[in-house]
Amino acid sequence: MRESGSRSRHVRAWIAAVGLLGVVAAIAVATATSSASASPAKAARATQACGQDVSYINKIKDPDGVFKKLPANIQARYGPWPYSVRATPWEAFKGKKPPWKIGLITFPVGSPWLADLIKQVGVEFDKAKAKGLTSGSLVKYIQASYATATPEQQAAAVQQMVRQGVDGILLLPLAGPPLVPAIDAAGKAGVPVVITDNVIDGSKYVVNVWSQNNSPAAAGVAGLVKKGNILFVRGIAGNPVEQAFQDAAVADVKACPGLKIVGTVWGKWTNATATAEVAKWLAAHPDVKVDGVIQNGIMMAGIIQAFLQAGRPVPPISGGGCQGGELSWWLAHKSTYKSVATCFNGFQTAWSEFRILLRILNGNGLKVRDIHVPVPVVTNSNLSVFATPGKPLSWPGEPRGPISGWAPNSFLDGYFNKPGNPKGF
Amino acid sequence: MSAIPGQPAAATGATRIWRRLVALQARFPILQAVLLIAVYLYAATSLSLSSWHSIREILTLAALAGLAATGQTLLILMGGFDLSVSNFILASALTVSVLRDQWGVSYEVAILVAVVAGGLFGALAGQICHRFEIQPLIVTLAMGGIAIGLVQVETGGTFAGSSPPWLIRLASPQSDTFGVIGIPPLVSIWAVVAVLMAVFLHRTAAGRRVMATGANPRAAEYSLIRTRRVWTLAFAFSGVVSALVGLLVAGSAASVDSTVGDPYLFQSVVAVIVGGTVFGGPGDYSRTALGALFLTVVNFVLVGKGATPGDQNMIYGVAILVAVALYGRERRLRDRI
Repeated sequence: MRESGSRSRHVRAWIAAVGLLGVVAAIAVATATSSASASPAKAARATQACGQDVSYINKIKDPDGVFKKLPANIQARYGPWPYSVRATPWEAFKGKKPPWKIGLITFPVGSPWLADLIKQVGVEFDKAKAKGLTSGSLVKYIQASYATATPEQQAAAVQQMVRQGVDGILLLPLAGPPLVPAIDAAGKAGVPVVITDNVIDGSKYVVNVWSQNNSPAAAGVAGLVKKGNILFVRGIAGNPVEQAFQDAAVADVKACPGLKIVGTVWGKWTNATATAEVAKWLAAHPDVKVDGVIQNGIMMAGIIQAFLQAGRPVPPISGGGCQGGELSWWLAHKSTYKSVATCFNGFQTAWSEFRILLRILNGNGLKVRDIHVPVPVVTNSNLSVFATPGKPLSWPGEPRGPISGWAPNSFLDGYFNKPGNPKGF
Repeated sequence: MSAIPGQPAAATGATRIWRRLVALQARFPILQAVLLIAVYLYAATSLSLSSWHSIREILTLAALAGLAATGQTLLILMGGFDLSVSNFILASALTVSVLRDQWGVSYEVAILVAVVAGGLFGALAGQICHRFEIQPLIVTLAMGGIAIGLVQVETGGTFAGSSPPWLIRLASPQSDTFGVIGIPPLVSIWAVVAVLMAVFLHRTAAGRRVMATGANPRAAEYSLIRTRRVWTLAFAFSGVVSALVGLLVAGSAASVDSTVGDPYLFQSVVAVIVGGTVFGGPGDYSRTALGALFLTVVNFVLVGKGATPGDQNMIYGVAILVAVALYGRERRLRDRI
């Protein structure tokens, strides 16, 4: 009797545990699906035409009144910028005497873009050293693997570099908010931290340099397709930049009433995952025609691969964050394949970022904390400028373009009170 | 034996059937097979996953997960664990890609280097675990970190590479085995591996040594089984398999980046657990194969239904709990003797 009593208590405990789990799961799912996404800004344009990119320009948060002081041509660069534009302590910064020690911190290298960026920062550092602008060696902290990388490691690296006497840091954050205290502490110690590939809205001392390099391509593909089914391939869930890409892309698709979103998969910003997830979706929906794919960055080759594997025609895929392999494939199929992409490479990013940091260290007077760099749009008509012919789809190369093709000196001059690079660098 | 007076005959019959089913489940993964069929039928009816094309896709992705779980199965049967699977996969994929693209080494030599390195690292992990009685969790995590670090030093931090066309064809769900048999090559490889693992574990002395080491290491030592050699070879095998899977993953993705190995640690462990293999035994690779298939079909359903990553994580967690609740509480081999 005692044994059967304990067994029935045991069974009841299991039933209770499983039931509780189910309730918690149901609540979580219901909450997640009903809560609004944390979009930083809603689209401001009342009548966005099909094929036109979303614009938040009339709704940009300008609490310090710095945005409205910018010339109109500079303001126009902020069309798809969904964040605030803030004042920066670096405007009053008098600068330091060169040579400067420079640090570079990045998340794990998962793309040719970042591999090339790191390489080019080294090249720029050496060129600057020859001009007496930098000294010693480039102090680097590159996280090894996403499996073990944490934002706290990057924060510790910032603190360590400041202790080592580094004068300025280029940083590609793994995640923004956890780095705010370290960046602000570095700023108070007179060490500017210039970040790219992310936007940290909560830091006073950070310098955000970012491109909304997905929504122009999304708008372009939406305008190309005009009517039909759209599949979304998203990046990493919970990433605020990914959410900003998605909000803009959804606005671009909704501007075309003939388009219908038929599915969403998560490619996690890697071609390998994008291939697998899109392949799974296609296998589960063999009768659904996909007329266009909107992807939130650097997954175009993986998506093409999935369609080729499935034996289905490759639809126009928005080429946000395009890479060399997919551009080469597109060039080879240009007569029958159309799409829209936005392209800049890691060499260009490094070239511009390095100059922004040197200008700040030189005391050129940065006008605003947040710099938005519009990206060149690639279509069939100018594809040959960016694509390298004859390369396989899996080629990990980058789009071509002049080294100053992302943010040239003339572009950067608009953001500084004193134009030009130190010592004419 | 006469029936107890007053006991209804039907209850005795039902109890007998239940006991027979439980005994069969201990020998064959019946529950796992039933769950797999149930989930697949749901997928086939609600999501059009019944076409031969869809089945090829499912089998190919399941083959990758199943192959990644091969070494893990052996180690879990032995009472060990391998946390280096994802890093060894990445290190192997990158080594081959970079040796070829940057150093001009032939693919055959590059593959040999990757496989030998995987075996050596694995063997070292097994030696350290057994000799110093350190938890495999810690040692394999360290070995994986060392492997990735070494590759990062050699490649200068470059974690991107391409895959050769023959490897992409080998890993493609649309290819046929030897160009004629209408089964993807990856699936054929998996089938061969499954048969070999079944023969190894159940029909060879070496396989019995692995099971005995897992069931009771001390008793195995007293039976003159060299458990250190078993651990070393088992971990070396896991390293070699992870290295080979790295090549197949690179082919499947048609490219290499720093995340190619990440999904396979979780998948390899969950396939073994959901399949019903217990730490230290009992279990076998057929259960792992069913576990890999089950996980893959569930994944197809979730993706096809548009589940978010959060939904997917919750459902995987529930699936693992249910699996462990249903058949993870079997007594270990050592407790049955």
